[in-house]
Amino acid sequence: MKSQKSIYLFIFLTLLISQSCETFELELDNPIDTIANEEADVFPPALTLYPLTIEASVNEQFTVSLFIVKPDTTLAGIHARLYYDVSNMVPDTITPGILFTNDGVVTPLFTNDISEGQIDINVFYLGDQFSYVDQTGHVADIYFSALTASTSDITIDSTESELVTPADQVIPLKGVRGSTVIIQ
Amino acid sequence: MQKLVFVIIFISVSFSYADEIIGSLAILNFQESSVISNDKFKEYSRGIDDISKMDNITILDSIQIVEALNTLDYTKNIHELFNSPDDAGKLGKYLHVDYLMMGNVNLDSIGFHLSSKIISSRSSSVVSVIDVYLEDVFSLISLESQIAMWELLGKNTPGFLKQERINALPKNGELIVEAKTPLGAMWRSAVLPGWGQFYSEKRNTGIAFPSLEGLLASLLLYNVSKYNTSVENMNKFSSLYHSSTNEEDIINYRNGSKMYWKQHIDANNAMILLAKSAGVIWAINAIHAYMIAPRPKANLYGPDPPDSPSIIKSVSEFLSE
Repeated sequence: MKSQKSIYLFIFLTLLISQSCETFELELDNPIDTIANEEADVFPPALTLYPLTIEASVNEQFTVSLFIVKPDTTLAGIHARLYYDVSNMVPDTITPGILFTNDGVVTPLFTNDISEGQIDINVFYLGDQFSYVDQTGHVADIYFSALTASTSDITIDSTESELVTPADQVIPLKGVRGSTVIIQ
Repeated sequence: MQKLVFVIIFISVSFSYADEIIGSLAILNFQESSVISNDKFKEYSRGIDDISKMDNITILDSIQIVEALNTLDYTKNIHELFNSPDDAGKLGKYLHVDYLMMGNVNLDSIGFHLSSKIISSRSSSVVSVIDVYLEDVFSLISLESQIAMWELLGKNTPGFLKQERINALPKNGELIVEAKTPLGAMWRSAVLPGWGQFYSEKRNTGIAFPSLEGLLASLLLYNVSKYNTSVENMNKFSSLYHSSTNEEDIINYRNGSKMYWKQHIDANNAMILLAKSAGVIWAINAIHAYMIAPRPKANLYGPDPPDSPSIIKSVSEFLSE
């Protein structure tokens, strides 16, 4: 009886240890995180899309958010050019994020232009507003509708996109990160 | 460091094992109960004196035996000790000897019966017995007279008479075999640490091994719990990190995730180390049980005294001399 108990205890401990001996890799990759971006060779100031991977069903709507990461200087405006696969998705609406609107307090100039597979977003403070932003933040939300089952990327054009200071100086963009859309 | 610990453990175990190789024997000498007459007593005493010269042998007389038994609160007749191996074992432990040897003469249905035993102090079991019936000795005298006739006639003694002489002589004592065996101790300790040590009546190590295993098991369980909590928190923080779009929150969740990730690695390493240590100690405990278990001694009596026969010599050899 004593030996039976000890065998059960031994089996229990063995199972417990074998289950517990698993270690996990920590994957921290948020496109708004400067450290994660640097690990992915994306250096600030950067324009990134959040989230990195989107899963959607056909005819379902999904949202991609545009972020500016660590401008480390005053910004009066942003121009971002995005590319997407027209055969797989179609943009519905584009709305400004909370960074330039200061959560609805300020009204910047916000325009967008959608053409075949390309989206241009412009957010600018008008001259008389004399406002600027200088931190990581949410620039815009783009609402898409999924068309066909596929996997494609939404990318940001680093050469065509630009950041502008209140003095109308262009700050070079050092990094961009797009999103992968998986439509099922 | 680990090597040093192993060397210390090995040396300690070796010493405890080495201590077991040579045995000691106490002979209980109940002179007043002997059937030997006063005239023959001198011869008997001379034999006892020779034996007493041997290194590992102590001879106790009735007074000493009674004194020892009184200390042990033994209330029965001292002659009953012969048929009570448990009490004999306690006496052996009290006297710090490995074995006790004692003899007894009874009158049973066959006749006078001399019985001698060796009892192990450790296991309180009879490890060797020799029985001699007086009837056999009388038969031997008759047989010897027949052999003497052939020798008086100057003829060769017939083979069957020689064979009968061999058959009639009392046989050697049984080999010393312990009731408790090293393998018995080992499997017990392999099943439950310390059990084999208790079986071998080594209470200190019998307590030490399970205590050590219990301590390691407690630390192991503590680390299992810590590991599970860390994994749970790591997943929670990692999920918050990935779902957050606030820079400050992201930094906090990143730091939290990293902290719990490190904790789960540390807990996991501690678990592996503790499990290995517990396994090694479990194995050492089983080997230790095997080493310290009762086993027949290689040399019960020490070097032979000069001009004295070994006490292990069989009765048949004594009689044939």
